[in-house]
Parts: sequence; C-alpha cells; structure tokens
Amino acid sequence: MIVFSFVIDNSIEPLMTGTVANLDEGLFERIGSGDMSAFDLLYRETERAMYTYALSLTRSHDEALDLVQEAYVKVLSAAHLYQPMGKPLAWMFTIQKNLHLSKLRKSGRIVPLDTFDIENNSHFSYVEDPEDRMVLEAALTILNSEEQQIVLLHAVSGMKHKEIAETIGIGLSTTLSKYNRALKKLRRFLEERGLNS
Amino acid sequence: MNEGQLKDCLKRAVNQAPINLLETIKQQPYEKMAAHDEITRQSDEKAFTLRSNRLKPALALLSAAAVFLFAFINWQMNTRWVDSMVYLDVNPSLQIETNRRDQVIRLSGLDEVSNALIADLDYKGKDLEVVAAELLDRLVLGDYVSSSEPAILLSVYNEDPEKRDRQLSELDQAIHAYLQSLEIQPIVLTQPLDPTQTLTDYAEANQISVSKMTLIRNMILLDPELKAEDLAKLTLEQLIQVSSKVKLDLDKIIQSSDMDRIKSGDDFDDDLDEEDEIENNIDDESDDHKDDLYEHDDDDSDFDENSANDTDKDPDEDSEVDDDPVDDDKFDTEFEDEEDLGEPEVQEDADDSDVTDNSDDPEEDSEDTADPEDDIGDDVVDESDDSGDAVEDSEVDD
Repeated sequence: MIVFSFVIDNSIEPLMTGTVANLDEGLFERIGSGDMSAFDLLYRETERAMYTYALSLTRSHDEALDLVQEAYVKVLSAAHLYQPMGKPLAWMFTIQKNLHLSKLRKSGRIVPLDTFDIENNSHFSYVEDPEDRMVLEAALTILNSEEQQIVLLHAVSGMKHKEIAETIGIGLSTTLSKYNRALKKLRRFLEERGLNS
Repeated sequence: MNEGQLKDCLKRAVNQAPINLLETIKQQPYEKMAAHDEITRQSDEKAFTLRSNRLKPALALLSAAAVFLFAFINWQMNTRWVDSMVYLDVNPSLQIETNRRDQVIRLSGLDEVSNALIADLDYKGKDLEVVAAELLDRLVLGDYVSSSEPAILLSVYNEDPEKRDRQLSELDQAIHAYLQSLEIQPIVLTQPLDPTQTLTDYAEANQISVSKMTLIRNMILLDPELKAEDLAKLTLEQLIQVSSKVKLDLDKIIQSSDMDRIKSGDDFDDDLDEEDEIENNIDDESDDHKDDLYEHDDDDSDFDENSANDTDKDPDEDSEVDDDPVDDDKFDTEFEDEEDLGEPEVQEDADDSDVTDNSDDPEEDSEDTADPEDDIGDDVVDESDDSGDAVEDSEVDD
C-alpha cells in the first residue's frame, strides 16, 4: 500500500515498507512513456535505499544527495530503454555506482574520504542522537564499501540478505559472512570508544 | 551493544537524513536517451549472474546427474561390459566372459554336458583364476580330465594384445600349478583368439567351440589338405596326434610350455596306432576324409595302405562323397579371403606329389613327403615372396 505521507518534514518517518527489493518493473515503462505519477511512486519506494547506497559509496551526506539526484535524472532519461531483468533496484544501484566512479575519475580522487574527513563531517549533525550519529560515523569509517552496503541496506532499507546478494551481485554466503564480520568490527570499534550500552 | 541495537541506531540515523529531492529532480531538464550509455547500461554480466542464480538449482541438478551418469558408465564399463572372452576346451568346451577387473561376469557351456558341469556354480564377480580353478576341480571330479596328460586348449580374446597375452600366461601357469598339485601333467595349448563371423558360423555348423575352430582353421592354413569337417570330429588329443603325424609346425599357431612333449608325441603315437579309437569318433562316411588326414603319415606303417587306397581313387571321388553341410571350397575361400592367403599353389603341388609319387615309388615318395613341413614351408615362403614377411606372419598368427 502506498503511503501518501511523503516525508517533507525531517521529523516524519520516511516511507520504508521493506519491500523495496520487490519493486514493480512496470514502473519504468510508465515513466518512459511520460507518466510522472509512476516516477513519484518509484521515488517514494526507493528514495531511502538509494540514499543509503549512495552514502555507502560517498561516505558523505551532501555527496550522497548529489549522487541520488543525478541517478534519478538518469532513470528518467533511460527508463524507456530498461529491459526487465528481475531486479530493477539493481539497475538503479548500478547507475549510482557508475556515476560515482565517473565522478571519481573526473575529479582524480580515487580514494574515498578518510577517517578524519568522516569524523569531522559536520553534515551528519542532522542526526539528533549523538549515539546514533557515532554509530553511523563508525560504520562509514571502519567498514569497507561492500560491508557498508550490506549493513546499511539490511539495517536501514530492511532488505533481506538474499535480496542484497542479488541486488549487488554477490553470493548469499558472502553477504552473510561479510555482514557478521562487519558487525563484529563495528561493535569492537564502538567498545574501544566507550560505547557499551 | 548487540546487533539489534546497532541496526536501530543506524536506521534512526539514516532515516533522519533530509533528502527531499523529488521536486528538484522533476524540475531537472532531461532528454530521453536513444540508447544506453556506459552509466545506464544494463550489464550482461549482471544479467547472466541473475539468470544463473535462477538456473543454479537446475545446473546443480544437471551437474549431479552428469557426475552420476559418468560414474554409472564407468562402473558399467568396469564391471558389466565384456572385456575378455576366455575359452577352455577340455572336451567339453567352456566360455568365460570377464570384465576389465578380470572378474567373471558370464559363464556358458557349448552343450548340455558343459552346462551340467557349470550348473550351480557361483561365479559372478569372482576372479577369473578362482573360477578357472573351480572349473578344473569339476572337470577332474567329473572325470573329464582323466588321463595323466590331458590336453587343454586355452584361448583368449581381448582387444588389448598385452592384456590378452598376460591373461594367457597367467591362466596357463595357474592351470599347470593346479593340476600338477593333483599329480596331473597337463598339456596346455594357448592361442590368441580373434573370432570372425565365418569362424563362428563354421563352429556352430560343426558344433564345436570357436576356439577349437580357430585351432582347426590354423591347422588347415598350415596344411590345406586337412579337412575342417574331419578335424572338427576329433578330440583335442586327436588333433594333436594329427598335427604330430603330419608334422605341422604347431609353433606357428599355438604357444605352449609343453611343446616338447607335444612334438615327441610318444603317448599320442601309441594312441594313433589304435585307429579304432579315432574311427569311433569319425563317421563311417568320412573314412575317405580320414585317409586324407593321413596322407602325410610317412612314419606310420599304415601309411602305405592308406596312401595306396588313395592312389586307387579318383581325387574327384572325395568331393562326391563329401556330404558335409559346410562347403569346403567356400570354407577355404572364406579363410583365404580373411587371411589373404592368395592362390593355394602348394595345395596343387602337394596333390601332385602325394598321389602320383606314392603310386610309383613309395620310397621316393617318402623322400618327397618325408617332411610335409617343407611343403608348408614352401607355401609360406611362396606367400612371403609375394606378399612379404607381414603376410607370412598374418597366416600363422591370429
């Protein structure tokens, strides 16, 4: 069921139905034929997952927003070319990843933000709870890109491990082992910084 | 902090992120692309991965089926498919079929006597030598191997010559060892086998085993005057007697560690003098053929009488009384075709010398025919002159 309470106010919980991996592929055909209501629907269904994935790539809120915006524009441009292959979200993630790599190549920056940059990134100040912010910064600091994708998509977007594995194109067992290893790293990191509760 | 707490923290943090981009995006100018670029391209690899993920169960099943099929075929080839055929001719004749592991998979007899001998014998899956020993046991107990020097014809067919020779050698040794333990000194003739359809047909027509038919065929190749239908009626010991009497060079057609005893042929000579025994095995109507068998017998006192009888007869008379279902000419011709024997020139020479010379001067004849092997040798030499050594080998080998 579509929830029409689209988030405008930050205090309102965004749409997270947990069914983002089961996105209707027919939306792309409708978008391709100029049906903007279909695009609205697509956006609402995928906004948070797209942001989460972009965050795992950029490790920066602002850069993630730019990336999400560019990715949706690309979807609008190419929706009519989309060939149904079973996992529409995988295509949208691929667009984000390709855009990100393209930007990195153009800027000459190969390595993502280092730990210092992330910990001093004031853009995460929107997170009200310092503990929540600390956990998010820790996840973006010590986990590699793939571990971040798995942990964030599972925790934030509610995607199942099998759906994550199919979407980012790795095996289920790999997804599970990386998820468990990432959680251990994260827990150890936070404990070292005195966050035990 | 446990997993749930970590997940909650992350979810709260990300969900608080301000992302209000919808209107901004919709206001962005965009053009419909004519084709995918490197950013929007739907990866074939990914598509393959997705498809293969869906096909994984089927592929796994297919792989398992392939492995199972391979293992099954391999097992069949090793255990169920016939690799060697071993013939044991002791009067009766037995046929043993073995797999690649030299385990017996089938055992059959030529006639009712043979089948009665192997009845209730548990042979399946047992080693060839074990089954051979069991068969010898039954042959001894059944009084089929009664004489102190029984003749045994051991023949093996296998596509691999090395394995065939190995099996022949091992079985030969096993038979000797087993019978000698019972104070029996066997004469074991071994020969490689390559049964053709013609050989099989003649064997069936004469109601003898293919292995015995092969021995007879090879004897005829050495001495074309011998008749298949006559030889087929003889026992193995009698065949050895005949070969000894006509001085066939058995070295060329069989291998035997008992060759010295075969060539000396003392016991067999005694037996051969007792012609009645042989006559019992030959039908009356084939007496003329029997005489043919002894045409070369210059050592035997009966020779003159037999040869004299021969000389009194028109050579064509033989063919008139020959009512054997198997046509000799066809037999010879087919063998010649198979063995590339060429024209039987020596046969004509032998006919001339034997028949004509015997009537004129037996002593002179005895010189001419004292060693029929010379004629055979000439035959082989003539052939080798025409076709080379390879042909000579092919005549006497399998």
